[in-house]
Amino acid sequence: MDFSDQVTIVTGGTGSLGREIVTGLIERGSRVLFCYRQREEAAQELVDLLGSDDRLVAVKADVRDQEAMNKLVEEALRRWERLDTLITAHSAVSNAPVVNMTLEQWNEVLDVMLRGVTRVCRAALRPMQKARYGRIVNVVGYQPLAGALMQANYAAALGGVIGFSKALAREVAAWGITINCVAPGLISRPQMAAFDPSYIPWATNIVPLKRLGTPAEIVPAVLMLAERESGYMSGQTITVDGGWRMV
Amino acid sequence: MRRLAGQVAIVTGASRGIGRAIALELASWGVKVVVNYQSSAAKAAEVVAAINASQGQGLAIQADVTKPDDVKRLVQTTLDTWGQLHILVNNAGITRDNLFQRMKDADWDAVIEADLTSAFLCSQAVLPHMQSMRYGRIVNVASLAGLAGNVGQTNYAAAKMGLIGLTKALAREVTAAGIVVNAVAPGYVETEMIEAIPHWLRTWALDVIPLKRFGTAEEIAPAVAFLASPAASYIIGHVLTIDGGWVMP
Repeated sequence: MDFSDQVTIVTGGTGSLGREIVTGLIERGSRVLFCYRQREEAAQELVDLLGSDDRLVAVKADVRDQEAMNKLVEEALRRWERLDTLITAHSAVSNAPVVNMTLEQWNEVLDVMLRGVTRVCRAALRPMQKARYGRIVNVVGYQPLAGALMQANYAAALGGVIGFSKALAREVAAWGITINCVAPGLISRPQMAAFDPSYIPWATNIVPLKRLGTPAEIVPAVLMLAERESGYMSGQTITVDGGWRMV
Repeated sequence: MRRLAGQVAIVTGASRGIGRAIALELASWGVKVVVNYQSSAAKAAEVVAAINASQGQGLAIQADVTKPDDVKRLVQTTLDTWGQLHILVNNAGITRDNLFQRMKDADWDAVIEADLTSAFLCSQAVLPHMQSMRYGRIVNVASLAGLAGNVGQTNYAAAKMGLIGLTKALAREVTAAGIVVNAVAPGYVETEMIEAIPHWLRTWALDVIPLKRFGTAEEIAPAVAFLASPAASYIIGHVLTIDGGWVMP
């Protein structure tokens, strides 16, 4: 997979998946502009770590702000005069069982996870249509496909991203723009340290591969969909889950 | 056919279209049905009259299901009237079609609230009662537009696929309490909502649907009644497509 000469925007670049996606893109020659909401130090660390001669830029920008997303895209165009690929990998959780979930919790997760994707897509589509080329890959999750306890808001928001991606894929197909999703299964993440200790043994046991996935193992599917050669794949959701559900 | 005699259901958005057919179908199964509506009082009254004329029991309740206080009142009035509640059908929905890049924020938000957040609010409001009975059926009316996408419906597809996500997440949470949550995903159905689609889209759709015709609301309602019945006790988080063979997902 070669992304030389290409320009990619990644949202949520400091998240555990976002970091790996940014790393994979840089290793394969892309110029990358990623955004993050709060973690300035983590963003700088990633830029320093990958040390990639101005091919990597971090921008503090909130996906809840349409203007910030417009500026993000403008910045990529200003620097490199093109935008080939958009990858959304930002995340926000606010867990509760439905019976106790507040409307604020519901709306907050929908705003970041679903509306956030639509905002950055809206900003990115204009240059892609002009270039008559584009790849959009939205990282979702198993929650809308398999359900998940305490995460009705997350499942609804990511299900929304899948539905949105399919409808938009139909609208912009004529411009050579493809839109797909990747749905990671049970992936090992730092925040799991706070989970019920029975979770990891349970999760490990139900997956045929008998282990959780790593964030780096999501990257090949994301990059495959981001490739120029993947032009006949659109509106799909690829599950990467160690054989957990096989649907 | 009065297999569900003595049960009580709320059907949201039941004054017209698919919701109306679901209300009539459930009533024919012996269910006492709350016909919820937002603004079509006369049409809701007609549905109730049709139910009562065939020895059923119907009750029209106005409520905007995007408003938490209205939803609470809807459920409380049902319980005050009939004492129990077995079935919730989250059917209410709207469309505000436009190409994504021309779509106004207000049109996006209105569809997400009416088609998705409403189901969250209504489900949340009925859960305490269903949990106390250790029995319940929630059926969400999604759409093929969510599963397959549709030009001009990024908001609607997002809301309906989001509703499928909610269906599965909630299904997992409440099965232990005897509550079963499922969804149906109708394809093109002859309703007022569909009358608005452009001619070219209608022609295209009729061509790609193996049955070569749109469905009727009466062809959706029996599947909803089945998922709302005790017979669906081992069907959890399922999405039943009813689309004339259009997508075969």
